[in-house]
Amino acid sequence: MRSDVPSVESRSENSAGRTSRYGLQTVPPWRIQWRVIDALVYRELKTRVSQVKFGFLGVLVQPLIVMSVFLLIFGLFRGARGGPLDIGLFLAAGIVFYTLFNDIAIRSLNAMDANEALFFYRPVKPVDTVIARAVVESGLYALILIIIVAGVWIIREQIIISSFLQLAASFILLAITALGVGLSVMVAGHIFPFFKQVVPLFFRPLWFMSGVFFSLQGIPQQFRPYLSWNPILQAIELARNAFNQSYPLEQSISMGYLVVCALVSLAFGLGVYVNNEKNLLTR
Amino acid sequence: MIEVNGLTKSYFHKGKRVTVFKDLSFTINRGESIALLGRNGAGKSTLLRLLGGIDLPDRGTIRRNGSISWPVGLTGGFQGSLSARENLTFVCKIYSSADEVQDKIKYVEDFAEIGEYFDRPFKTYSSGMRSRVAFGLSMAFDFDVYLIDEVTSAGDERFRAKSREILQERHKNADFIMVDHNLLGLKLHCNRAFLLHQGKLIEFDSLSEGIEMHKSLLLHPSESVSDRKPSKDRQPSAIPTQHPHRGATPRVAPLANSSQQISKVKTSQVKGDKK
Repeated sequence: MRSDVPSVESRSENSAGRTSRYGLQTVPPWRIQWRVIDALVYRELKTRVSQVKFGFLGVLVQPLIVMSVFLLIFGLFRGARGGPLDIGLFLAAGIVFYTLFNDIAIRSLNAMDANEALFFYRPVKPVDTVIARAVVESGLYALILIIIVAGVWIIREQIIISSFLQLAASFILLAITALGVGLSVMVAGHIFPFFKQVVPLFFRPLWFMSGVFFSLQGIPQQFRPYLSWNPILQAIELARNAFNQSYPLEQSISMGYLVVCALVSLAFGLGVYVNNEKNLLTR
Repeated sequence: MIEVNGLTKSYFHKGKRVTVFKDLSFTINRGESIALLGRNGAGKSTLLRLLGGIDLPDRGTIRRNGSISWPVGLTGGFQGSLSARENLTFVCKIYSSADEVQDKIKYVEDFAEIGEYFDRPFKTYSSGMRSRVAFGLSMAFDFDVYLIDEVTSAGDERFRAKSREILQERHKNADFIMVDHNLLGLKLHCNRAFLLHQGKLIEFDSLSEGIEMHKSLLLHPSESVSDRKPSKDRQPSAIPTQHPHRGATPRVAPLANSSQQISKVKTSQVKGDKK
């Protein structure tokens, strides 16, 4: 907490309980939470659709074009380096997963500024905007992944997902990890504004360290421990393995580690947030 | 009922702490409507935000019984690239159950009377149209206390008359805390006045006293409040501060006869339309 902020003793906030605070006396808290996130997701989607042509398809087109450019560049330069895995799927897993993490975690830095006007409606709390963004991004990139996979399937004409469950789990766990990181950086960025410049720089190297365009197997043995701690890399490798079980999985890569990452990140993010919510809402 | 105790609020500006007000304590009972007076920058809107719970105080407590609206009339929560309908859907999804959303939107659409603009991006609206939508939205929900920040300042005669009417109607079941530099509107809806001056708050049981003091402070801003504080043994005000039987007594300050006001407005509005 900032030392310059005197202690807040506004008891009304705690004693009144969430339900009685907003003119929604009869509504249980979990329903309010659901409504707020539902409304924010609606707003976020509508806003995106309103900013592009061709409605919802337009929302998908931009990231799809970015993906295809990447696929083209790396596909041409590196040739088929995916081992047993189709190069399209190899890169799609890397790029989609990295972008998913990036969009949820890093963009939350500015969540407070971007959504300030919404906190004017009291049920909306900063945490809701980050959750809503995580939901929207996850849905969007899941769709994009499906489109790419379908595209590759049409070209290759063979079964290309061996474990759908593993693919979905690594996707969702990475999104949860990103949500926790997003909450933490949002709070940090609000309390220490210079973080907003520093954090993106700090995260930039992740692009090169997350195995977006290499596989952990392609890295010399002695360097692997320096990379495999990274939950993004873990999720990407797991996803590639889910596409094709014969894609070699390094020992240090495991679903268990990703689960722990997601839980720790979420718990930490929520903890930081809960302890600073008042600070965030005080102008 | 709203009970405020030792409320202090300050901001950080360029490394310096600027105190907006210090140690405010007051009680607003059910059935009382308050006019918040003060110069520009006296902290009226800040106090509204604190009462509404949108901003938090440095120190002090605010106890609220019943529901309090967001500051009515502010359009800050609206997304410019979305239409009024979409913006309203967002708010209604939060404040009402799923099956009521369409009814609420219909209500606002009928109130706002902005025609096909209702489905155009909000950023293309004139300030009058924005006010119509924002005000209509606030009135679509039943709050116990409405915080009203400069509602009537934008918009044409017809909208003003309409909002005056609807506020009067709402007054039967709800209380207002109003900020408005149009003093006529205050006289119509409020029975007490709070004057914010130099970080202090002076309570007036009669609106006219408050307005008089407010006007004289506008002319002589440097004067300190304590010199001018109304004496404790002043005449008891003509208006009872509490209305135990809501609706039984007219809740309008005697300064303005409400029905006359509205009928006047109506005739002038018809003329205005013909021009």
